[in-house]
Amino acid sequence: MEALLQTIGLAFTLVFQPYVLGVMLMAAIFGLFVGSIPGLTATMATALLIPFTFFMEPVPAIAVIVTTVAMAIFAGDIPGALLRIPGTPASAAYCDEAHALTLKGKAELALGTSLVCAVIGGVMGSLVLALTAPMLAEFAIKFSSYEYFWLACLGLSCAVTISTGSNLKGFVSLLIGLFISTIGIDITAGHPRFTFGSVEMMGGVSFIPAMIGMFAISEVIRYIASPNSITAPPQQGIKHVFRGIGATLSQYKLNVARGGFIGAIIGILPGAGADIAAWIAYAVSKKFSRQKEKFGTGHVEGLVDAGTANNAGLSGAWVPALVFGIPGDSITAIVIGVLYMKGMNPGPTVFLNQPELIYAVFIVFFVANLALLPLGFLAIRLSRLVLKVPRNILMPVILMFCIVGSFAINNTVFGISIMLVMGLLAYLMEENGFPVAPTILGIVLGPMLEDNFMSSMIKSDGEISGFFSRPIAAVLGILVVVVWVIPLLRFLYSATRSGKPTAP
Amino acid sequence: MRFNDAVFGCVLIVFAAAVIAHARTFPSLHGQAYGPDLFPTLISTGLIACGVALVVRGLISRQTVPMLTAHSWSGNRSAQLNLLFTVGSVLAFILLADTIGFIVLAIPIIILLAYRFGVSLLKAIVLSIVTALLIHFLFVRVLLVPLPRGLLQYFGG
Repeated sequence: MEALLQTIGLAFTLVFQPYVLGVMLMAAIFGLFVGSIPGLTATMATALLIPFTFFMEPVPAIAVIVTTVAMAIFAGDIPGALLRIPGTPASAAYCDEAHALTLKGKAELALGTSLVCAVIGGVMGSLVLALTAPMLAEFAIKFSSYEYFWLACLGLSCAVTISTGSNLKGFVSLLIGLFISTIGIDITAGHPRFTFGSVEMMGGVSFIPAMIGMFAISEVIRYIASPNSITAPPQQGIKHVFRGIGATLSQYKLNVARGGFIGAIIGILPGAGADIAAWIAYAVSKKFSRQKEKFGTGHVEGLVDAGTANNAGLSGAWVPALVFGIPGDSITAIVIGVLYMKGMNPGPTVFLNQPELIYAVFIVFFVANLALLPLGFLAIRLSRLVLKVPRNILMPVILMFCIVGSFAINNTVFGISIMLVMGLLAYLMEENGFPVAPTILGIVLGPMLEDNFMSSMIKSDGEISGFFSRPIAAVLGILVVVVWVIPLLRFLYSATRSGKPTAP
Repeated sequence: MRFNDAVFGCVLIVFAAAVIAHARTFPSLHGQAYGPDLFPTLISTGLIACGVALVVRGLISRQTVPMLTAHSWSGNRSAQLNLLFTVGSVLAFILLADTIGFIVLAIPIIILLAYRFGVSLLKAIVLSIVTALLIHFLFVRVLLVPLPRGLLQYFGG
């Protein structure tokens, strides 16, 4: 207990430094700005930031990402409510509902509820993270390459089955990611794969330029392909943001708890992030509501559930990321990539050797989510100004930042080439209904999958049965098989059902 | 640009087959059944399977989904040109950054793109200078990234 308190004390000194708090404030403003602008996502904000975090210590680097994302996910609600354009995909689930409230003249209620629920959801998610991660880590410390192999499989399988759109296209997306991860020097034999003699390809596809390409360049291209002008926000006084919030929350306190819980759990599942959490929480809210008919007409209940869930999902996604090094969503996938580059491989050993770092991450989560209350309030008040910033001025600037950010990692223009190729690839994929998140997970988890498979094979002398020889490994292996079989069974079931003429 | 699934399926099959052919040239580890070719081969096998499924799906739906959907912007010359200019600017940066240098290259690129996106010329010029100097300050002075100086090195600036 005393050791724990000492660690937490140390963690506090790591976080409460002028430098860390200063960069967090800047990140918060950046996140609120990017989130408020339709077409710029929270993931894009993270991708634009990684070149900067690359030059920071681990704690401020993580603090910057956590703060930016928490702010951006909330800020996505602002254009959702005012213009009916979700600022980030995580706000899409309840964007119509929030806008319907605005049309009724209740924009204050919509935004106030979003803000307070986001804060509560963020804090709930942070609590789940701080309570479950250390326990899981204690358990995970006993894992060997067999267990990690299965965990990586489980993470990838979840990424495919949970991702939006068709499972087939999700699987293709995952395989593309896995293939990209095999480019470069192979770790077991030291053979250069798919480098075609290029020295710069030997190190593999650099992670940061790839992320900037997939999340920032693809958005820039999408803007160019369909430059929709933004309509002016409605002239409606948004002053008393917190008026009537107390009553709303006490009426729907169960919804808050449920939304936070659903969000955190979905966040923990690999491959599903805040956007899916919001969709599911909204659907659950509607299903169990006593006033189902009011949904979609400007009813605040669904907003409470989903607004809590997406911010809770953000923190939940960090549980598998910190404990196993398996990303819970595309943002944590980027984080894991950044941590690897800093030589801090996420996993249970970090909990053992540098627990103060882990507790510093928890503290950062609480600070960021609590800071959301005043800063988010400010963002709502300033929203009319931010929404006026024309995107045709922002896009060339963003493009230039992407180019320089990709250059800065290795100081070569080769990074810019990777950025361009990955950006075009991600744009083409999304346009054709291939989700991008599984590709990212494939790139991050590919090496983990292959290394653990190869070292397990060497340990067990090429016997596949080795993968089921340890109890935890066997359980995980069976779980993976179940995850694979269920969609197959569902497919066969629906195929046989649709094949038969339906009986009257 | 939207394609019928069958087009994607064919591309994936050809790509995966090429990967497998190339992976067969990898050396194997001594005394090990599995070498560096295992994962690329497995991945490509999966891609071929998915590719076949996509082709089947695409052919079934070919009545409703044409092989290539002319997206709203394909008919829009201005959007096409913008895309061309954007990709071209990035390529130009890749090719010319070392000789011409960051600031001298970034300013015309931003002016061109901002102007193409509908910003007035004067605003675009101001925007380009402010952005280039801001990025130069952030990356060169704060993060100590050696952005290529190119032509400016002759001026000792």
